[in-house]
Parts: sequence; C-alpha cells; structure tokens
Amino acid sequence: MKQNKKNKGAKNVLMFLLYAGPAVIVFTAVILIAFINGIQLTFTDWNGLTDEYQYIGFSNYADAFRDALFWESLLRTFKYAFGVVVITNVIAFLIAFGLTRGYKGQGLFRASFFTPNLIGGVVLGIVWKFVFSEVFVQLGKRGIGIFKNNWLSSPDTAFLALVVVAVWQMAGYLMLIYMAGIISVPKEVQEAALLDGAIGLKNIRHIVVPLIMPSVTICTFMSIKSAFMAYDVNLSLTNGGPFQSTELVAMRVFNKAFQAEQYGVGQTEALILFLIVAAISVTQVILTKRQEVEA
Amino acid sequence: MRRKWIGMMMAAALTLGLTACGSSPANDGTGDNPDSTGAANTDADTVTADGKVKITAYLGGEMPDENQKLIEAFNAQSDTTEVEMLTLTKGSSGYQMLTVMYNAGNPPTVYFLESGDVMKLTDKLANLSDLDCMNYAAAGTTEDVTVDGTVYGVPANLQAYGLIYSRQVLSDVMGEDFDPSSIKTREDLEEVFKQIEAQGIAPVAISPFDWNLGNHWFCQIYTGQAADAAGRDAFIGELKAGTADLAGNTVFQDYMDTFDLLMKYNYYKDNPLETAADGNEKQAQLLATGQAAFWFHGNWAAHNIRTLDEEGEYGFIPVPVSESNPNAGKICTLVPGYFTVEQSTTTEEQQQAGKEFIDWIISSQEGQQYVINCGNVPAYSNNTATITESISQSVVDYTTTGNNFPMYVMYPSDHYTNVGASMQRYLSGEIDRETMAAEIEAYWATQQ
Repeated sequence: MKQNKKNKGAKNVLMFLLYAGPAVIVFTAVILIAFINGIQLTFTDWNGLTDEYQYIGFSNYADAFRDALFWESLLRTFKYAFGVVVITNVIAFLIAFGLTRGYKGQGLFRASFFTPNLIGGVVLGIVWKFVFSEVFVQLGKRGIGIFKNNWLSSPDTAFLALVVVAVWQMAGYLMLIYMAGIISVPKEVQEAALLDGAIGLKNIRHIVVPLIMPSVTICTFMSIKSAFMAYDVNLSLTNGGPFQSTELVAMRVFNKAFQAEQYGVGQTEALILFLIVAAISVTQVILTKRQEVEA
Repeated sequence: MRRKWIGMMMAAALTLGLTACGSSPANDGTGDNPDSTGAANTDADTVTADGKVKITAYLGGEMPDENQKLIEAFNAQSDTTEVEMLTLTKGSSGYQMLTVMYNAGNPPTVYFLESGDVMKLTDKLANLSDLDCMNYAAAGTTEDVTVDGTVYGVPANLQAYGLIYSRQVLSDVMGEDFDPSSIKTREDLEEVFKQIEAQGIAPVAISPFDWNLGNHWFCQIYTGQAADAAGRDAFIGELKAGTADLAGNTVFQDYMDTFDLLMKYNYYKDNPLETAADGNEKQAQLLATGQAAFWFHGNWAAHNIRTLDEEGEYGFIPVPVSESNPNAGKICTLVPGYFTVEQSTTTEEQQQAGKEFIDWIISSQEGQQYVINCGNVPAYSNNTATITESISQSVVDYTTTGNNFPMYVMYPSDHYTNVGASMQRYLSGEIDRETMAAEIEAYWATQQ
C-alpha cells in the first residue's frame, strides 16, 4: 500500500515534469537566471564590456536615487501611461461597442481598426515621423494652426505625438478584446434590461460594462504594461528629443546602461522600474478583479 | 505505456537540446581566457567549405551599400579570406552593438569604432602598428588611438566641418567675383548675411540635432582652449574636477557669440528645433535649392547635397572667431572612425586575415575609391583616387595648407545627448548662456 503511494507520488512528479518541465526550463534559462544575474550586477561597477568588475555595495542605488533625469523620465512615463491607458481604453471600448451593433460593413471597419497593430513599433514610428514632419507640416502651411510647427520640435507636442501614436496602435487590439466581451453578454440579460428601461448610456453603464469587467481587466493590464515598457516607438519617433524631453523611462535606462556606459546604475534603475510596474499591475488586477460579476 | 515513454524521451531530448544551446557560447572562450583562443581554429565558424578563413566585419553605418560593394570586391580577389558583412540597426551606435555582441561571445573580427571607444577596448584589440598602410597615414590621425607606441586603430578617412557655402547663392547676391575666403571675422560674416537676407534668402541654416550642436559645435570650444593636446586635456581635467569656469571662458564666449549670430539669421529662427527629429536632408535641400546660403555642417553632407545638385559648387569657410582664438581661420577635422581587429575571441588566422583586409581597404584601388564614394577625404598619402567633388576638394585645400585643427574627441559617449540637450535649449531660447554654461559644467562634474 505504502509502496503504491510512493509510486503515485513519483508518477505525479514525472507527469509534472513531462508537461511543465520544458516550460520551466525555458523560463529559468531566459528569465529567472537573467533576472538574478541582473540583480547581482546592480552591486557591481561593470561597464558592460570589461571582463572584471568589483562589488561596490549599494552605491549604484545611491546613484540611481540621485539621477534626476531618471526620476524625471519616470514621472513623464506615469503621465504617458495615464494618458495612453485612459484614451486607448475609452476609444477601444467605443469602437467595439459601435462595431457590435450589426451595422453594414462592420467587418471592414473591424479589420481597418485592427491593422495598425500588425505594424511593428519601429516601422510605425518611422511612418508617423513622416506624417508629423512632412504631412502635418504641409497642412500647417495651408493655415491649420495646430500644425504650424512640427509637433516633434517642442517638448509638449512631441509628448502628445507619442501618446497619439501609442493610442492609434493599441486601440485596435483592445477593441478586439472588448468586442469578444460585448458579444458574449447574454441576449436575455440585454432584453430584460431593455424592457426595464436601461437604454443608451444607462445600458452601457449598468449592463454592458459590469458584464465585460474581465475584458476591462485584461485591457487595462495590457495597456499599462505596454505603456511602461514603451521603447520602440519612442526610439524611432522622437529618439527622446528635443533635448531629452520625451525620453520615457525604458529609454533612459537603456541609455544609462549602454550609452553612458554605467551598466550597474542602469541595471539598478531597471530594477526600480520593475518593482514599480509590478506593484501597479498587481494592484490594478486586484482592483478590477473585484469589480467582475457573473451574469 | 510505450506512448508515455516516447513523450518522456521527447521531453528529455528537448531539455538536452536546450542545455546544449545554452552552453555553446561559453565554449567559444569569450574574453576571459585569451590564451585558449588559438585552439578553436578547427571550428566550422572560422573556415569556409573551400578552406578560406572566414571573418566578419562591421565597417560603419553610414553607407551600407558602399560597404557591401567593397566587401564583395575584396572577396572576389582574395584566395584566402572571406569577409561577411555585418550591419547595424538604425539608431544604435557601433559601440552599443558591440557590447551586445561581446556579451553573446561573437564580436566581429574587424570593426569600425570612434577613437574614444577604441581606447576603452585596448585590452581586446590587436596591435596594428606594423600594418603597411600605417606608413602613409596623415600626420595627427593616429595619436588618439596610440598607447605607449602601440596603435590600436587604422584611421578610416578624414572628415571636416565648418560653414558650407553655396557658390550659386553667393554669386547671385554678392557678385560673380566675390571670394568667400575674404570672410574672416564675425563682422564680415554679418555684413554678408545682411545682404543675403535683403534678397529674401535665408543667410544660414542650423541643423538642430544634438550630435551636431553638442559634439560638433561644442567640441570646437575644447580644442580652442590651447594650441596643444596637453593644454586641452588640462581644461577637460578642470571641467571634470568642477573647477572650470565656462561662463567666464573667453573661447566659450567667442564661439557662442558666433552661434548667436547664426541663430539671428537662421532659416528656422521662428522655430529653431523644427527639424530636430529628422535627418540632415532638409538643410541639404535648402542649400541645394538656393533657399539658404550657408550651413554649419560637415563634408559628409556632400552625399545629400549631390543627390539634388550634381554640378553646383560648394565649399567651406572656417567658423569666424576672434583672432586670439587658436582655431581662427581654420576648419575642424576629425577621424570619424578607426578600423580595428578583435583579438580576444578570434583565432590567429582570423586576426591575420583581418589585418590583410584592412591593408587592402587602405591600399587597393577599390578601397581608395570607396573613401571618395562615401563623400570622405583620404587620410593616407598613398591614396591616388581623384576627387571631383567640390566640398571634399575644399577640405583638401585646407588640410594640405595646414589650415585645420583637430576636433576634440576624448569626450564621454553620452556627451552629445547631454551637452546637445543644453545647446538645443539655448537654440530654442529656453535658457540663456549662463544657464547653459552651468548645465554643461554640471554634466562634466559627474564624469570621472
């Protein structure tokens, strides 16, 4: 009997390894080891290239806390994330709502709204750079006041440009998730609600939104994550300019590590960023999970 | 039962495959152990199927098509070596790419680096002092990459910058026989600017890029501190120690006075940072189409100008400064990069092949033509290729008469973003000169 139990335990372990083993190994190899190695490097003065380095205690942390550019870029990233998350989700939801009403030709619209997501970030940045500095400038010359100057030439408008492009890219993808949520709202609930007089905005607020909270959770999480990790569009659209005023935090960390060749400090800032993003994401998931209801 | 075993075998095979992949870079013996590198020469990576030595090369990022042609020409004539070209993603510097490649254990055999980066990597680079082409290198081109008599880099070419003028515009406004070299002082320049402006043409265009303002404009100020290298290093030492007074520095004030003059007559004076996110094509277009008369830029822009105007005459005048300034009357020259040979991970044969490749680039007809095709000026006296382009010819006119000063290049690699940002703020009118000086002093004080 006892023998049998042991066998079963071993069997379970083997089964686990069979199914989860490869994934665990890949995760360990490419994420866990790199992560631990990264933490170790925050205590060194490595410049990214030399063979030897010294352990220097917590002085990288002190440097990171003193690095004004890092904190400025972090604050900027918070603003950016707030703008992107709110605007993207609102627009994505509205488009999704509109395109599940059964209008003619909605398939075409769904496809067109989703397309920007299929373009990679760097290409997207280059395309939009062209739009901002060639197309919009031409409109400005024809008297459209807000395009008088190239948007990429001053800090505030360049920041707006980043938000616009991020929203344009992300909204189509979130639209898809919202659409899946809206379509799966049970018909009978909708009918009952309509009978009870929940029409228009009331219907959206009290029936649709509560029932698609799982979609909201996913969409907010994904947009927060992508806003905090934004790098590719930042690089190809503004490259942090003018005068480092649009450097988002990921770019600052990269530049600190590889351009200023202070790998230890850069790694430390990356770790700080990780802790902040992790804290925000967990809080957000807990909060929105609480809102989810069963139909 | 059997099915389960198959499954497990597959899982095991996957795992083994992974660990095998994971360990292979370590076997290449990266940097840690240079002594063992010779042993790896049986590796399939270093020899081609027909017995040639295989090496990889990164020749700089500006003209990938020309690089490709050059490497193909070399491969066609070499019986012993085959070179594979590496390219670079736009926006990242060679040094950043190299950091990644070193950490992955496969840096290129031959690579192009700026002098400051060469000096950081001397423990990984081969001694190139004995290369035949070194006998022909122009004076002053190898000092920046020499340590105790060992030369670690072969200068690729020469570049120069100053105020590029358009002969066409000057002739139209000032008359056919106007001689641009008669502009010696700020006052002379302003006089010409005024006459050009009166014709409705923008006197000058300032490219608002951080590298252009932060490195090219500002490094003139470092060179101007003294006529010799020791004096310049001493000034940089003071900046790092935080004791230099930039705002009270006459050379700084001198160059910024000239900059103010350029700002006053700038094509973009309504919105100076208009093209900050673009390349230099727009200013090249202004010059080539006669919308601007002068442009603070370098001879590498010849390539952009020539795509629009093949025939027109353009040339340099020095940036006008006070006569007491050691840079007065001279244009600024620099070696944009050096070819180096990696020796900490490559085999003896590969290093030899790399040296042979570099020697060929400098000495062969194709290699000499390559320098010209890229819009640069040869750094070697044995280069016999003819220059037909007037901007490059103008550089040669200054360098052969000794009317050039070297750009100060021993700046930190994030110098251009930081100092460039301060210069951009100044250009856009957001800060004044004192604030800018204070910002730049603060930046230098954080450097070791």
